[in-house]
Amino acid sequence: MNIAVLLRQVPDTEAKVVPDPDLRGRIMESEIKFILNPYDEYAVEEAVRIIERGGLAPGGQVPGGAGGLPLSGGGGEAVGFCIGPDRAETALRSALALGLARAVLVSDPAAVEADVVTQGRILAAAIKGFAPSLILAGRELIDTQEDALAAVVAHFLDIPHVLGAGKITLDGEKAVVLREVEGGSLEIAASLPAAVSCSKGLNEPRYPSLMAIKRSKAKEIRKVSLAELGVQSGPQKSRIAELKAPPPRAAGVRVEGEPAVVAAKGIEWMADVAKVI
Amino acid sequence: MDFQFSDEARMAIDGAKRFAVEKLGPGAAERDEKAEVEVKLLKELGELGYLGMTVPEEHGGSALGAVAYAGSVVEVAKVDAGVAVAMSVQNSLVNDAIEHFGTEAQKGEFLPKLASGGWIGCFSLTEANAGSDPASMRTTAVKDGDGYLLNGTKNFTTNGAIADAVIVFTRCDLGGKPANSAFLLKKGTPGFSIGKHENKMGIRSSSTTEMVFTNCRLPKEALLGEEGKGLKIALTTLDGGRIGIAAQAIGIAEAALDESVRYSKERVQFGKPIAELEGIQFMLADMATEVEVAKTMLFRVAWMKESGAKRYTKEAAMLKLFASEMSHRVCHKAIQVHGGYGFMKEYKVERLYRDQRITEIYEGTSEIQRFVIARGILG
Repeated sequence: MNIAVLLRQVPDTEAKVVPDPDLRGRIMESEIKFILNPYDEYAVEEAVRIIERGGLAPGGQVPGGAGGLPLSGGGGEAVGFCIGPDRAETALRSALALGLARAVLVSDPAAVEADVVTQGRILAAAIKGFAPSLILAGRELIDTQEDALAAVVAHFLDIPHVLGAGKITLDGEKAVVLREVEGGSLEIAASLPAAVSCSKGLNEPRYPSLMAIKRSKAKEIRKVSLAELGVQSGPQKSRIAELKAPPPRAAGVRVEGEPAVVAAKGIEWMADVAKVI
Repeated sequence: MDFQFSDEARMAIDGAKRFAVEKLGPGAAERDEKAEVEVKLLKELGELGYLGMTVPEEHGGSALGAVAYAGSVVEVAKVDAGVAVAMSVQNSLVNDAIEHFGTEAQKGEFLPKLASGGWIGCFSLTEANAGSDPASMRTTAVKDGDGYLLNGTKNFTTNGAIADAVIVFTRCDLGGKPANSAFLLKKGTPGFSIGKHENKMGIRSSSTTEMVFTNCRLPKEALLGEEGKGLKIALTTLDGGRIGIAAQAIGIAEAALDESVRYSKERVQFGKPIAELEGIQFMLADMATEVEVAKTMLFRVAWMKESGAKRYTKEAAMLKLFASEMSHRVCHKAIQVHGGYGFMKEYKVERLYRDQRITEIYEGTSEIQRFVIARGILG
């Protein structure tokens, strides 16, 4: 039984992100370090733990079909799937060091620049031949906060999708997902195969050991083209029209005097000048 | 020339950074305050492979090489310089000495345990009256039947109290001529005990102790390398050790720089952040430049070691000298940027300033480094 993990690369949380003055909707990449999307680490860790526990019991799986990649690796495997430029290989390498068996990268510019619905359609085509019982993804991207990809992939594979897993319990037929909600928690049962977006708290991702880092070098990152997948990117349905840095913080206002006077002046200022109350 | 890290080195260094920030960061100030040695954290680093970075895979190491090792020590030192020195001693003094001078039996017994963090090691060279002049050591190893009898007291041994494996240097009698030998023994060997625990100015999260040998009998198999070659073993091994200490000094300096950059943007005087004052900017610029120079040098010397250079004694001495004294200048300026707050224990730069000081002293004082460099130049 196989597990597909959707992977994406994002700027490091410490990176200073600056809009590119020449490329609308893009950031300056030259000075930035890129990492595996932190939420994706929960998905990777969960997939690796399931495989380490002996994989999934037999049950539903995505039926392989025409146009899919012949990816069957025999027994249960956790494999990463990613759309991204060549530099995304470093993120995939990190996921391999955390325990994925191998990874597939679609790096055609037409795929990389496509909208999320198109990317979901492309990934569904790539994943189909792998016939996974479970598709795991991070719940959102830390840069653009896009959280739709796993749902779109599920849509094109016609399987259920559950958002924001804090706990996943599997039996051969279904995944039971616990999601924390305001004031309580939901338990959602989804028949397998299913796609699940993973939240913080699902697990504690391991630190890759140096031995695992070395082993990851021998693992395959297979680059596939849209032509190999037999899909086309098609026209963009949505795009980032503009990317703006937040306006610099304006200087504050200093109010002095007795506490009662300061409070009154402060309220007056908030009401009349800042118009926040 | 190629100044890129390999994928593996980059991932190893990133991993060390993450471990340091997440695992070592939260308790670092408290460990310093209470002089607490947290062996568990050190062993966790070992389980991930960071205590056997240059040990070959057949002996249980990760064999990532000196460049990845140097970069990893920098990241650990940025957060906890005491853990960094423990890591440096284990990798570049203990493991390297056993790898280069040990018998197959010694390598097979000790290296897998050391490289995986199961055991912690120490390198016991210094004595009360033998610091920069190790040849004047007084601890003796006298032939006793088929083995040796050790007597004497070593001091200032890093990892002393937590060591499972001990490399100790002694005087010996080589056909009537005085010489030195090295031995490798295990904790619990009768006649060997831990003496005084030192109360230090800095790197207080590391253990520094006396090592006491009283009629400690060792079998001949405990000899490390050839009899009479102890000093050569010590000095050769210290070449590699200097890379680790330089990396530690650079990590401390880089942390001091980071703290200063952040503080200077937050601290407002004369109506604006002090980062906008030229006097502060010039200090920050000098600090950043010095750290950059030392780092470049660090990775070059690590690369020399990794690529199998026969000797890099002069270069390692230059690196250790420059990195440790650079760290002193940078930490000094970091306190200056912080003003009165930098003198207070609430601010990390106070600890960094104290932690830095020893890097100019241990594994060869700055004066010894200059002596080694001069000898390298003058022949």
